[in-house]
Amino acid sequence: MLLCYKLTTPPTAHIEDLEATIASELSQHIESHVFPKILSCLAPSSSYPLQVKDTIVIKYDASSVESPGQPLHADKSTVSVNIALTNPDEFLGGGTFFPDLLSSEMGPVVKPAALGDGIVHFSSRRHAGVSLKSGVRAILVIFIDQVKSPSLQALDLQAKASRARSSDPSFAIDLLSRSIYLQPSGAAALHLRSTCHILMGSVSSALSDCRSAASLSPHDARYRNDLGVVLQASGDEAGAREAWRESIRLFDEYSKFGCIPSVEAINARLNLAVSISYLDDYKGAAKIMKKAKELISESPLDVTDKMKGDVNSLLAFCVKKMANE
Amino acid sequence: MRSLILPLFLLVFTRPVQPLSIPITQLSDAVYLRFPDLLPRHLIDSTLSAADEFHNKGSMTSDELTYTLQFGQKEGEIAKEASCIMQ
Repeated sequence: MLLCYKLTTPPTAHIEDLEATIASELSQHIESHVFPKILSCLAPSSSYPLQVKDTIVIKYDASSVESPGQPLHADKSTVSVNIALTNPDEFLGGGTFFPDLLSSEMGPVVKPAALGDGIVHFSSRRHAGVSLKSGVRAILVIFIDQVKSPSLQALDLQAKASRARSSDPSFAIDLLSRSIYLQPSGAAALHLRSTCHILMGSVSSALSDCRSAASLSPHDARYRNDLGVVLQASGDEAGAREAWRESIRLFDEYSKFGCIPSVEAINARLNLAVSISYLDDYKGAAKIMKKAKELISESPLDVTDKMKGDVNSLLAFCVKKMANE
Repeated sequence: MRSLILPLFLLVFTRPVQPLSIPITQLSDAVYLRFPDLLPRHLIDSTLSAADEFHNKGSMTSDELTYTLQFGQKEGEIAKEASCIMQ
């Protein structure tokens, strides 16, 4: 088994790590009590059998790790079930953040109402564990696959395309087209295919796919950033800047609600600042780079030396230009 | 300097969020659904206790560049400056 660990990520225990009788009782409970509920909300395609892919206990403890949380991500299974193992009044902060809920009335952070309550969502829907301010928040997360379902096949095709993208973008495009056929509303597949088109030099196809992805998933800051890149490649400088501004706005919204700052927010700022500096707006570009430096200090683990160098170089260049004006 | 950001994992289901006044029972119509009491109290307690027991058995040592973690039969190294894979 492979476990991805980051220093900001809280410790996890998989079901097979638990004492055998408890693991067995937990597995039986999932099949007898959780599966029927999952099937009831997946009714249109319930002919596909359910299978547990993984079951893990995650414990966020604000006393042992500073602001523990999970960065925005999606998982490669059909459904995720997130069950509260601690009372909501035992911690401050925390909860699950969904970018897709940014414009909803109830807000983007979902918390359990009581001990034992579960939140069920498609695993591929982007989500984050909001940073914990104090206390302990423990959850049981069950990843469930709907075996051989079109949606799971679409995910497999995307995963294969993601691996093939750099070495064989044409093959990756074929895989992604099959994925989109199986799951027409698959924003991620469209987005990934747009990056393949860029590698193949097909800017118009990339633009079409990236626009579709951004339209299907309007609160995804990464899609806005990449839309800016593609618009820039197509010669639409103003459109690119607008896309990068929207990307930065969304990344800032994520942070406002307690998401771990993302290195991608720095990329969007670099893209916008470079573009603005081409307009001789060195003051504006410098302001954006100063904010990027702040973000780098908040998320040092993910930032590459090249990115730090780019931010510092552009900031120094803009400051020098401002001094000469 | 300009770069395309690729997703680590991929979003598949993207549907509009329905107004709250419409009762939603299908996951395809919602970002998430709530289910009360998915786990009984005794299983909550025993699961938490077993997870704590697993972690208490673990140990972590470190040198200048890495942390070394040991949980039961699993052992792995984590670079201090970056994430990595534990096997």
